[in-house]
Amino acid sequence: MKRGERVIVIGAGHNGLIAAGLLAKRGLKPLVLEARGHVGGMMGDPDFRLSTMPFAVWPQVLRALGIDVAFEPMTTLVPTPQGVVGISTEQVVGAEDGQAAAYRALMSRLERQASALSGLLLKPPPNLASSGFGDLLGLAGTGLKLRGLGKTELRDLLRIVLSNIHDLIEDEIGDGPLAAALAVDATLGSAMGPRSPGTVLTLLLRMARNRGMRVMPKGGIDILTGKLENAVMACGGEIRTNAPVERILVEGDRVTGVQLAGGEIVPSAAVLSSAAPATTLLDLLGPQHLDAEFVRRCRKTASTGMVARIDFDLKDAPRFSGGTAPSGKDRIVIAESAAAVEAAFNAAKYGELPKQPVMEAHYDDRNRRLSVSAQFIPCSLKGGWKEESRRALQRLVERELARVFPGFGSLAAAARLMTAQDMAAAYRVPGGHWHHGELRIDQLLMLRPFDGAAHYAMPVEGLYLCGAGAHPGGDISGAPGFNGAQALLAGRRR
Amino acid sequence: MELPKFGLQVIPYESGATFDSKDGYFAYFSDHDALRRELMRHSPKDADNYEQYARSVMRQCKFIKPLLMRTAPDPVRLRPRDVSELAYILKRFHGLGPREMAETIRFWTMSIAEYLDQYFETSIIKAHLAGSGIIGTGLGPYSPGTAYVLLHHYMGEVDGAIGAWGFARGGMGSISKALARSFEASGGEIRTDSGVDRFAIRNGKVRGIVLENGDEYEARTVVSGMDVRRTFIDHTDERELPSDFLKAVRRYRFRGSSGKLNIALDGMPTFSGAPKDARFLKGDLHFLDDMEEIERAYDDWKAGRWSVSPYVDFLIPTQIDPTMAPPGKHYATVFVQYAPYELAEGQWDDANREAFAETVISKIARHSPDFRKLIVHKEVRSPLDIERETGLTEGNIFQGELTFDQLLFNRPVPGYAQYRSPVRGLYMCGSSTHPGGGVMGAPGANAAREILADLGHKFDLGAAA
Ligand SMILES: Cc1cc2nc3c(=O)[nH]c(=O)nc-3n(C[C@H](O)[C@H](O)[C@H](O)COP(=O)(O)OP(=O)(O)OC[C@H]3O[C@@H](n4cnc5c(N)ncnc54)[C@H](O)[C@@H]3O)c2cc1C
Ligand SMILES: Cc1cc2nc3c(=O)[nH]c(=O)nc-3n(C[C@H](O)[C@H](O)[C@H](O)COP(=O)(O)OP(=O)(O)OC[C@H]3O[C@@H](n4cnc5c(N)ncnc54)[C@H](O)[C@@H]3O)c2cc1C
Repeated sequence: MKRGERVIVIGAGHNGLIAAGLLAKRGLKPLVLEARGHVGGMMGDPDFRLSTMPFAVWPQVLRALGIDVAFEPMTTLVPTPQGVVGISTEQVVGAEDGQAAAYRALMSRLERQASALSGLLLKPPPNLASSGFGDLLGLAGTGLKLRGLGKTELRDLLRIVLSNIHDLIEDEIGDGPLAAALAVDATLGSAMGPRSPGTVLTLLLRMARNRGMRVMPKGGIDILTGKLENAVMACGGEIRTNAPVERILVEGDRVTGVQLAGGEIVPSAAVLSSAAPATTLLDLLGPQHLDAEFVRRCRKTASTGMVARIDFDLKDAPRFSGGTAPSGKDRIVIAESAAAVEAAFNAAKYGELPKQPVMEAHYDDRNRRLSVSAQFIPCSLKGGWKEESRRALQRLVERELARVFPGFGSLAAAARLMTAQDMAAAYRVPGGHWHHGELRIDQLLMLRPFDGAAHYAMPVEGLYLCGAGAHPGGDISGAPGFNGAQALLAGRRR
Repeated sequence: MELPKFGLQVIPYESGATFDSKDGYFAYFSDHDALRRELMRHSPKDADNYEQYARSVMRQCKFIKPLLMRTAPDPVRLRPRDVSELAYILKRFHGLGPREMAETIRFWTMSIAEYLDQYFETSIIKAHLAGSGIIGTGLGPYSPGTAYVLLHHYMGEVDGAIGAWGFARGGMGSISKALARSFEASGGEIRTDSGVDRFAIRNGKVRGIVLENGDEYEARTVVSGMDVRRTFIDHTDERELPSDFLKAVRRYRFRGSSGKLNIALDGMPTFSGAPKDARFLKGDLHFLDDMEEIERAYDDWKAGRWSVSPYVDFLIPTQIDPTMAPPGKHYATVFVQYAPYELAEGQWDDANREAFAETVISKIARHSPDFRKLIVHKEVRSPLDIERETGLTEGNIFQGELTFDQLLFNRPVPGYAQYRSPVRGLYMCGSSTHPGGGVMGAPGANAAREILADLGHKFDLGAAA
């Protein structure tokens, strides 16, 4: 593509903004079209944004954009009947000594193993299609890099990499609050329970950057969104909100632009979409431009969201039974044990509400807002989401919060609820999935979002994916946006 | 081993069926046309997709099958033999072509439920096929990795047909008998009632064994068909073993999940859902509506209970092989998934065993009104009983779980997946080695090849088969 040429980016989530920012830096003229009235996508919703506690954005990505954001590490708090267990980068407090030591030993081992895998993420996945036999050996070569781990840890990695977090917990630390936190990290956003094989890999991929710790941009999440937005505009890019793309236009086998919901046509030779893969390919582009097998695979992609968001406006700070209140730098995990995480998942598998949802919460002391991500709340509830079931869910969440914060009932002034089904509609993501599609072994790397669509460039020339549905998946990381933009810049075809 | 010559007759598998709670059924036939008619009766779409499904499973079987009869490479040590074996696997894998490579990866990692959802729309068809993905494992049909377990069950080969099952005339025991006769005919000797107490080891080398009755045998090569835990934790002096090996062996997972009922019957029971004289009654029968029912059965097991509505694999072999019972009488073998080795509440005592049996029998009786009154006698086996009776630890029928962390170069433990142990001359050949359990003989044959190589012999599996 030539300098100054227009590129359309669909969606102003963090990945769309990052992709646009990188293209602008390289002299192209990105136009970001966002359906909703705000930028930031899933992390930037004005009503719900505070519940997002980013896993760190890759520093390489921020550097490439020339952005400087100070991230502060968060402390994970796991309230138990005996008191609050705290997990930070430096230490584990409040847990039983033996367990804390076992947990730390396990975490440092996993950190080493995760960082050996980190080389797979900030670049396109290995390619099965174009590769010769040599490529496969090259992939084996990536394996050789793993040898830096040393024999013992490499053997261990090869053993656990496809197994489940439950077994690892059972072998290494035993169940309890630390296990609960680990089980939540391994399953958060997924339709998998701790016993589901593959949950160790999802954990390792999360830990591959910044050891899997949550961080908060100094000054709040808006600072990050604002800087990403500026990076686009500073280099001549443009962002339009309330501009839903209705169709991706194609002539021959080439993209020619997009049509907005109002009928307006915006011509462009390249379109990067951070909207979910199924939305991009089936709704916006249309199956008629794709071969039947490709469409079948796209349709069969697993994408069942199981996270609901509830935000509470509070009259006063919530307090744990010990009397302390969480700060803005704390991430609160509400789950008694890994077994409780599995139990919550059991119900969700059948489209039912769990008796005890697993929750992740953040209290913003400035705005007195408690934001909750409630896990294992199925997108399609048996019998459908109705006013009554929404109220039932809210009561469930309030009851659990009252267990952790005595007297919570009298603190809450107002609440807003968004189920995965609401998110599916709001962000146009199938199943309202956190990762725009299940992050599971059979949908990872060269199989993400599905086989034949893994290298950002789609079968229609000029169309690229750059959102969480593409490799390496969701969370606030910026990697798919970065990789998608690189693919376009490289002009790479599959 | 020329087993037919030594008395083994395999009766090929012909049919089976699943009954749902509304007395509907789906029958499975090994005969292609019969199966197609039956699929059509439920859904023409499923009938068409079945062809694709069968091809896909067949391709996976063909890919994996040769790997079962080979020693898994060690991807960490990477000696020349490991490198060439890895290259062999990669080459075969690459030979599949990009589409099939992706399919293969997905197949190995998917849940059986999702795999079947790709092809079929009819619940009872999926429920029927899903059983093979979970039998004997501590996984549910929604667990990733269960599509592979399906293969493990389909790998059987009767007279060269991939995916074919067979019944041994006279029962499973006749397989062991034929094997024993063949072995003895080649000059081998077998002593029963000769429990091994311990392996005699000196200076890191095995010297022989000591029996429970005190008898000692000297040998420079000893091969253990016991599982890895029994071999090394129960019958080896742990001071002879490296600590990381011991730790790995202790971690090896059995997790029994199956129970068994053997029921003597006064006559042939009838099934309310089956047409008169349905020939599929001779096969394996199941009673369930959908895959969710199996998953819920699994949830019970996770919580330390036997399934409230278990997955049942019911067979009356006396229909096929009347020699197994007096004339007019029958017996049923009922394989039950799931039952835990340890109950969360209480013990496997007579009362619980009876309650477990009652759960199973009442499930069957819901589909067979005269079943209960035909029962003359029954034996009930919890996983604990299976362990006590057969020596299968924790009652796991595969000598250990078939999950990724215990397959291929990880089976039984990483670094010792080539049938050798840390003790020189002491080998493993049971199903806790690659490629795992089931009556297929691959671990034993692979171990024999490695042992013969160490002893300086060449061994051609083809010639021995
Ligand atoms: C409840 C919940 C809590 C979460 N909490 C965290 C957390 O604490 N930490 C973390 O790291 N991650 C969290 N995540 C995950 C994270 O928010 C997402 O993975 C990430 O935001 C995805 O970014 P994205 O840019 O790829 O996609 P999105 O943020 O979804 O952005 C895509 C954008 O495209 C727009 N769009 C779609 N279709 C069109 C169209 N046709 N025309 C125009 N625009 C369109 C959408 O409106 C949206 O703004 C959470 C997710 C959920 C659901
Ligand atoms: C109820 C049930 C149903 C099954 N159904 C099927 C089926 O339909 N199809 C199928 O393919 N598979 C089936 N299996 C699985 C199959 O039986 C096993 O996987 C297989 O028998 C394992 O063979 P093996 O030789 O590895 O081990 P084993 O058969 O367990 O042999 C090990 C032997 O070592 C002996 N031993 C143990 N300790 C000592 C000692 N200290 N000294 C001397 N000897 C010792 C034991 O007595 C035993 O005979 C079933 C299993 C069960 C329990």
